[in-house]
Amino acid sequence: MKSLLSISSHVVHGYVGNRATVFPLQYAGWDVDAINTTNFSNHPGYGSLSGTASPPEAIQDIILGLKQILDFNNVYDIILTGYTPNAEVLQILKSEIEQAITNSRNKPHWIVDPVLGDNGKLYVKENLIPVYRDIFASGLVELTTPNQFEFETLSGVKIVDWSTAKDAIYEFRKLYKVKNIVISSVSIDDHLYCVGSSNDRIFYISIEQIGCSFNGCGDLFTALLADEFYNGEYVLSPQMLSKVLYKLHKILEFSYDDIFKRIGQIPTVVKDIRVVAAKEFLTSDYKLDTDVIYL
Amino acid sequence: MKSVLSIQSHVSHGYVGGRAAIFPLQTQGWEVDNINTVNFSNHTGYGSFKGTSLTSNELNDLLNQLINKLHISYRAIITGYIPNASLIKTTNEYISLIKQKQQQQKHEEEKVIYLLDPVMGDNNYLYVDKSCIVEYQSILHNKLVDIITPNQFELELLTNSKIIDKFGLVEAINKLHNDYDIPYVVVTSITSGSIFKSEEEDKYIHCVISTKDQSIIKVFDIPMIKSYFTGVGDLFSALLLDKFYKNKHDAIINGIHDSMTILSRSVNQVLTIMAKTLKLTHKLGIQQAIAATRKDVNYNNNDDKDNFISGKINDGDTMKYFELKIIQAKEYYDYDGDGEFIEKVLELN
Repeated sequence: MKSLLSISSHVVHGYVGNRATVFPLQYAGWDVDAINTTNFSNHPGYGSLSGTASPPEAIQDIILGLKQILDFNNVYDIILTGYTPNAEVLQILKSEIEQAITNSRNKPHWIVDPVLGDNGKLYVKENLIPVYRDIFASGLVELTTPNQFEFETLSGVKIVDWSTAKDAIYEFRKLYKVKNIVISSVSIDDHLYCVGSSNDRIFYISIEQIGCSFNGCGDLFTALLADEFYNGEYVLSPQMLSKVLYKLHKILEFSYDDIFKRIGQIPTVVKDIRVVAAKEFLTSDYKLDTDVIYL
Repeated sequence: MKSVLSIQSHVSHGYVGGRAAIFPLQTQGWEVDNINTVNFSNHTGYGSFKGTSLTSNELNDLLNQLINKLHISYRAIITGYIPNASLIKTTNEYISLIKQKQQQQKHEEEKVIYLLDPVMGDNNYLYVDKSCIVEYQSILHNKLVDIITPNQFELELLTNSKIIDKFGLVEAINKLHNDYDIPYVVVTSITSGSIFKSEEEDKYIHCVISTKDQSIIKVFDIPMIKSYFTGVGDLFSALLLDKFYKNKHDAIINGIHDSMTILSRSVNQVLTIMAKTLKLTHKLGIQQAIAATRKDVNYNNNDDKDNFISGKINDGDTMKYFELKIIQAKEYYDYDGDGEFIEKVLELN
C-alpha cells in the first residue's frame, strides 16, 4: 500500500488544500495521512470565511503524536506540503521533514507546493518566503510545483517570454537545489503553458484553456502529479505532465459545465472544482500523444 | 448533487470518525462538508495520541458561516464523535436551524435526513466527557433525529438502563422511538449472552433494528472476528446513511411505504459491505504484521498465526496493522444487492 503524508489547509466546504488533494489520492489507491494547517469554513474566494489557522504548537504536537505510533522517517513514500498559514508552522515542517529524510532508510520523496499567491498577489505573509528559500536550498526537495507568480517570487525573475522563462529556471537552479521543477502554468503571448525541468532539460506543454478561473486548481494539480510521479518511478517526463494536464482539464471542464447548468449562464469563476463528482477522471488511464517542446 | 454535513473527529493517521466515514461517502458521490470536532494524530486505542479539540466558539463560527452566510443546503447530516456537552449543544442548535430552513420543502424526498451516531463508548468504557450523556438525552427531546445508531452501551446510557434481557432491550428501543420521536433505530451491536440464548453465543454479535411506525423488531446475527477494530461504528453509520438515502429514494419512486423494508434492506447491505471490509482488513492486517515480524518469529502453522496476530486495544504495535482498510475496500461500497445476512424477527418468548 502506497503511503503519503499531506500537510495543507482544511476547509469544511469546497475543494482547496487537503480537501483537493486527499480524495484524488485516496481514490487512486493511496493511504493518505493528513495534517490540517487550518480549519476554515471555506476558502477566501467566497468573500468571507470563519475558522482558525492551526497554531504552530498544535502542528508540532500532531507530528510528535505520529512519531509515537509509527516509523515517521520510513513509513511514507511521499511527503506533500502545501498551504501553510505562517512562517512558524513552515519552520516546524521544514525541521521535522528534513530530519525525517536525513535519518531515513527509505527516503520519502518530498514534494513542495510553495503556496504564496497568484496573479501578482501574495496571499500569505512575506516572511514565509525566506523559509521556502531555505527549504529549496536544503537539497532534499524532490519536486516543486509553483505557479508562475510563485516561481517568479522565488527566482527573482519576471517571466514575459521564453527567454525569460529559461532565465528564471537557470536562476532558480543557481539559488536552490531542487531535482524537479514543474511550473503549473505560465502565461506567454496570451496562452498558458505547463513548464517542466529536470536534469538540465527544460520542456513545456500547451494547456487547453477554459475561459474561467478556478479555485483550488494548483492543489489538485499537485495531487495528480504526485500520483503520476510515483507511477513514473519519480522520473519527471513530458508524458507525465501531459497525463496530469489532461485529467485536470477533464475535471475542470466537468466543473465548468456543471455550474453552467446550475446557474444558467456562463461562469467567470468556479469557486469549487467538482473533485468528487468528476471522480471518474481521476483514475482513467489515458494514452496521449504528447506535444512537447524543449527549450 | 447529494451533499452531507459531517461533524466528526479527524485523525491524521488511521481510520476512525470522519476518516472512516468521508471516503466511503465520497466514492458514492456525496459532497461531504466535514467539520472536525478534534484534530488528533491518531485514535486513542494506540495508547498514546496528541492533538486538540474544537471549541464551542469555533464550532459556532464555522456553522454560522456555512448556514447563515453561505446558505449551504444539505440533503443529510451525520454526527459522530463530539467530545463534550457544549459542542453537542451547539451542533444541535444549528441542526435545528437547518431543519427549520428546509421545512418549506414540498416533497418528502427533499427533507434533510439526520443520522446521529451517539459516540460515547463501548464495552462499558466511556470515550467522551460524562457530561455528554445528559446532553444527548436533553437534545434528543428536540426530536430532530431521523436515524440513530447506538451500540448496546450507548443505548443503555441514553435510556438510563442496563439491558440484561429482551424485554429490557425492547423497552430501551421504544424509549428512543416514543420519548425522542426517532423513526429509525439501529442498535449496531448487542453482545449480552442472556438476551439471545444460543449454543454459539460467543461466535456472534447482533444488530437490532426497529422503526417507530411498526411493532416488528428485527435482528441480524453477525459472526465475530477475533480482533479489535476501531472505526467500525463510524463506517457503519456512513454506509447506512448512503444506503438508506438510496433505498428511501427508490422506495418513493416505486410507491413503497414500508419503513421496515427500507431499513432492513439498507442495514443488510451495510452489514454485507462491512463483513467484506473487515475480512479484508483482517487479511491484510495479518499480512502486514507477518511481513513486519518475519525476521523475528518462526511460524509452524496457520492457527498460530491467526491466534498470535490480532488488534489489541491500547497496544500500538498491533493496532497499526488493523486500521480499517478503507481505501482498499473501495470496490465494496457500490454494493446494492439484497444483502447476504439472514434477518430474523425478535421474539419475546
